[in-house]
Amino acid sequence: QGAQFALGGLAQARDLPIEISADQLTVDQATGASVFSGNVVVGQGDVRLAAQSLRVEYGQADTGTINRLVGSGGVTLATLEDAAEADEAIYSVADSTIEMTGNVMLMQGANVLSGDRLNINLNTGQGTIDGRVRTILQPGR
Amino acid sequence: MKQADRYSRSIAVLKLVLPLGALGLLSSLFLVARDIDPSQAISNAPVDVAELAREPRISGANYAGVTDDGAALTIAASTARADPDATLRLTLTDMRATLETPDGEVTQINAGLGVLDRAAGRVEWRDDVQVTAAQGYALNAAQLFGLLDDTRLWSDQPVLVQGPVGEIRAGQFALQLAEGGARTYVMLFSGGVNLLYDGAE
Repeated sequence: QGAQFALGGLAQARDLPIEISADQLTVDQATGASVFSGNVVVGQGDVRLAAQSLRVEYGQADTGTINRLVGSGGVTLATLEDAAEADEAIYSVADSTIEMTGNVMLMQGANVLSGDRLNINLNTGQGTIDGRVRTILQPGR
Repeated sequence: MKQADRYSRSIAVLKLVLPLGALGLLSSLFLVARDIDPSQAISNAPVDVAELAREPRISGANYAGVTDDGAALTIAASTARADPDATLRLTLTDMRATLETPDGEVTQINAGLGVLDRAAGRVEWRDDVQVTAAQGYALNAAQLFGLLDDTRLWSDQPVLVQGPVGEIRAGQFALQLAEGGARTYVMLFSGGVNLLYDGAE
């Protein structure tokens, strides 16, 4: 059973530039596989995705596009008003969706939702969290 | 008769004037001409003749070597000048180098100036270094170093990189064998990396 939620104040993320900063980038010369490591922060509009390491998956050969960004080693997603934490996150740049898996915790204002998997559509701001969802409501807030 | 006299008189005059004219013409060639100084170089030659003669210089120099892990490094330069007190150290101009690693990838390194130091087993590129690497990566650096015996290129100054999906700024760059003994070669951008990807072009 999953829970619906909406992220506040999200700008249209689809065609905003993405900036990735990290301590280090390693590119395999033969395959082109690229891995950012050390304090990786992916920024796009109001969305910030932080991870320990981030693997870049490119689109078809030499189209110069990024298909997916796979963050691992503890991931934190922050938008204007909400934040979410998990072990891993897959950011599909093409369709602007983020899927976070493993010890997911979503903090919305004072409410905390936890579960196994979280999916967010950055364009609509809609998201679902499922897998043993537990909600911690702060009464009287 | 009169007509005949005038003819013979003019011939007599010509017999005198023509040789004298020839003599004058001939003397202007040698007697009054400017003296030519063979030792003085042609005034419009840009090259300093004395310097050229003094220094041992090879033009169109080529170096080719293979590193321990089997990468072929070739360096071509328009001139190579040996350092007087370190003969194995050559100062190169207009360098074009190619590094072919066993994984089949080729890296081109061009620079206006450089040093090939076979004693120290190092090569250095300076002055507008342009590197064209694999996977569509191209970068500019102020300075780049390389080893002759092992496959390692590095720059410890910031580099601007044109990557396959966007522009990358990095504090340092290195091209070397990946750690952990895997036979793969990696480009390592470190010292703070920043990639700007502006969506599907």
